Amino acid sequence: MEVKLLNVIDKKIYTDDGSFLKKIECPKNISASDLNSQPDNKLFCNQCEKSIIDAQAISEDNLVKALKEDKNTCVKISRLNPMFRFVQ
Amino acid sequence: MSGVQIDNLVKGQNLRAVKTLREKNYNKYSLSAEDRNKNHLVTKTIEPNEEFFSRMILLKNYKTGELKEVKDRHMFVQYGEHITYSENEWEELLTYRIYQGSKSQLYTWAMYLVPKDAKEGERFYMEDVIDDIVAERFWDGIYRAQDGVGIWNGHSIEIDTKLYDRVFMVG
Repeated sequence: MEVKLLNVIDKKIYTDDGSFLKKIECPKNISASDLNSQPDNKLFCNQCEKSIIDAQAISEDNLVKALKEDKNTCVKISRLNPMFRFVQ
Repeated sequence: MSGVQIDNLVKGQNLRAVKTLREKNYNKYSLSAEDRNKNHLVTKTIEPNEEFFSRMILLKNYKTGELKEVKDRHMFVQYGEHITYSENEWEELLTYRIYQGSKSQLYTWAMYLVPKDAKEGERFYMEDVIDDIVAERFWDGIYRAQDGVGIWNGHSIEIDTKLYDRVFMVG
């Protein structure tokens, strides 16, 4: 399967064709202890009391689709995730 | 020894660096008289951290005889969503635990060389963190902190584990 990289530049996520998806920035500056696992591979944020997407449990296509549908969707991404290219 | 590095996150903070000397690298020349005189030698034994143990299952396919080592009968696979090893197809031969920290270093010793002029509360860049500290969990892996920031408390170094929260981003 072809892997499409998502670029993260200055906290902004772009698709590989350069389309802006969303800025990843948490105003509450949450830590790992604020996130609880849910059975559907999502995470529950105790600060905002809402579900967020865990990018390690979703395909690139589904992540792009979800973010295009709603830019206010929160997502957790790891610097270890090969789906993302972090541009300094 | 691989692990999560955070040097980029603290670049520009002008922290003094603390060196680590491990038993495996020690010989009579590795610690000079100057090293001994100018530094506190903060020595530790390396013990396992329970957080780095994972349970594994060894499965055998009834039809083909193929063996699989898995963490669970139901697993997430990167691009294929989920995979299930059903009880009808796969026999459980055994369960066991693996250690995902720095296994080869366990029960050896290591030391931090902390400058004697360190002030209580001073933050240092730790080039090689001795203990197995969880920096990130990703897919089925547990990743240890390779480097970090340590705070001198007057007699030892406390690693600032909050820094590893920044290995991931949320928003």
